[in-house]
Amino acid sequence: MTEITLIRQGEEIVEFYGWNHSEYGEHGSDILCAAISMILQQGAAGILEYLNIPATYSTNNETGFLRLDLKAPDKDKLKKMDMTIHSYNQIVFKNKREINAILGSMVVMLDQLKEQYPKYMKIFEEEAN
Amino acid sequence: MFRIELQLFAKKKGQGSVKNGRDSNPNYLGVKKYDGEKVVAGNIVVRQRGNKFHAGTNMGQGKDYTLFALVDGFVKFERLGKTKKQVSIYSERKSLV
Repeated sequence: MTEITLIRQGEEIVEFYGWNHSEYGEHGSDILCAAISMILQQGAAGILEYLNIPATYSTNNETGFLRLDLKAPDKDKLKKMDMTIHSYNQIVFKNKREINAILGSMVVMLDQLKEQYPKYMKIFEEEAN
Repeated sequence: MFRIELQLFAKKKGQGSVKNGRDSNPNYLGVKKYDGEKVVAGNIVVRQRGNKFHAGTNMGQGKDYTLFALVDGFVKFERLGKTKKQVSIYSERKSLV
């Protein structure tokens, strides 16, 4: 079962991660895995590529893991983009509306998927520390 | 460049099983990464039944109590109160001292 955790600061999502294999089907024919993979990656790509925000992003194919953390920038990317933590936080703040739209629609899609495949995926919500 | 993985959450085909007269599959429980060991995000650190170890800093916990790393770093086993134990991940080894 794939477990997705959404971490919020107030109403806004500031971090999310998915973990574990869905086990809906075999590798190559697991449509649920493909759907979850695409939805989470679309959310991540929206932040990283479309909005060009160098948030921390990591995946692990072996264990089935994907995480995006807006609270912490990727230090290497930050350096490459010649940005400071302060300018990173400013960019995140400036793009708040777009971030909420991208991640909000990601959650809508995940909720829909969970409705249809409740045995294979779960969504948890946590408050950021 | 963002690389799309279409089957990130699909289980890869495992090895064929060999029967040795046993009627159940092994659980493969236990500590998978030890104190001071380097891990990457998503690595499984402990497989357990119940919370023998609790999730500490930068550690996620699955529904089956499996603890996994949320960030790249080094494993640290710590005390949690007087009787409990927790596992954390720190980005630098110096934090382990």
